[in-house]
Amino acid sequence: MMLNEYLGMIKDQLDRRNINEDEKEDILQYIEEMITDRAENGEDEAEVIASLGTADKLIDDLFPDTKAEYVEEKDIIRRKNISFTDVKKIDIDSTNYDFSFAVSDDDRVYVEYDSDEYLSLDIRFEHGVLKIDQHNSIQGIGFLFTSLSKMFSKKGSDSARKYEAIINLPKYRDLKFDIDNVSGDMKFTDIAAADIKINSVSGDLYFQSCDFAKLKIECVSGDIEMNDVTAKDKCKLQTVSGDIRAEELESKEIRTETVSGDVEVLIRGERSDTDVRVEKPLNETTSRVDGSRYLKIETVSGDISWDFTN
Amino acid sequence: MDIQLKRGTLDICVLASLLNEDSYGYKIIQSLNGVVDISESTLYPILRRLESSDCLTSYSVEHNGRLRKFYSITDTGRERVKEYLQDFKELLQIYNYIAKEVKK
Repeated sequence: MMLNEYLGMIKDQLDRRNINEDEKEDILQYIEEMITDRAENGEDEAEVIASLGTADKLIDDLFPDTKAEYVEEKDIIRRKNISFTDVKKIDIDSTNYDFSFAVSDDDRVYVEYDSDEYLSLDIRFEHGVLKIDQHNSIQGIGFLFTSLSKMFSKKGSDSARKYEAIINLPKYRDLKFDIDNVSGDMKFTDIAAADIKINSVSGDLYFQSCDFAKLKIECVSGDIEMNDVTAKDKCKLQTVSGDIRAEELESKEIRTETVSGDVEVLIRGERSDTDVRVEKPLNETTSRVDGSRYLKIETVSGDISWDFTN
Repeated sequence: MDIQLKRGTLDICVLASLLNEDSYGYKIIQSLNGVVDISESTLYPILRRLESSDCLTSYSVEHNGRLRKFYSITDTGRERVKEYLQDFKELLQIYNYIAKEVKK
């Protein structure tokens, strides 16, 4: 293998781990210097590189605290475990992983996930952004083809193998989320964050006791279910056929839009303080009070039911 | 050698190799050849550890169009080596006692 190719693989491994930028620069320089010195002193460059072992094994040896550990073996699906500090943003790109978000005991972000020869998660951490991408092997792509048909038939296709990822986060209000998922369900319990943006196709979303600044959700057929959620500045919920059910939802500006999905919302706060606009063909309600808050519900053929706690 | 014993000893070996002159990664490994077996992946964490405990400092020098990192022992580092030799003298007394008992 050539020096630059090997250094590229090392850089790749470093980006997957919670190692700070200065340290990464340092280690890359160290490895390059070592290989070049040995080559200058008569050893064959390719042989030197071979003697160092694979990039991931080398980084495991140098930074044992950052190893992805195997927690348990479930049949042939293995559980992997990895953690990070100073995470500012979580960026997820998945097809069918189910995600559960809960609070961790400290200031680390813990990711525990299923992994096998079909599907796994590619986790990278760079400049404060934790990037989690679903990785499909060649066999994995074949596996997804078959589960794709199941996805459009029965919701929550129990016959398909479940891949789960559990993310425990510190209660850090400035955390941002950008999530793209297709059929995986997502559950948020007790989460505090700044901006959350979620795109889902058929995956269902559940929120329990969460505190956000801005929430924006776009679903196709997935349902949105919320209980005791505050999206202080703005809450936009959009589905095609998915149902929206929110109990004790609080926000300065709520917009819910569906095509055929049903909407049932119980807003925490004063009706007298909110401008309301409900749009359904042949059935519109507008109530303007020049209030400090705004509620808009729009559907084509879904059923709408809304109320305020006060 | 017992791994616990080896760990502390390797750190001191690296410091000792810097007592009389500054050196760089590859040269440190070469100078310890025959004394202790140390690989690149073993040396790196040792250098990190010693630098963060102020036992050595580093600087870069140009060599053949690239930068080579040199390490230099500090006064704290020299103290560490002295302490180690002192500890070892005490250890030697214990060793002599054990060896005597074994011979009996």
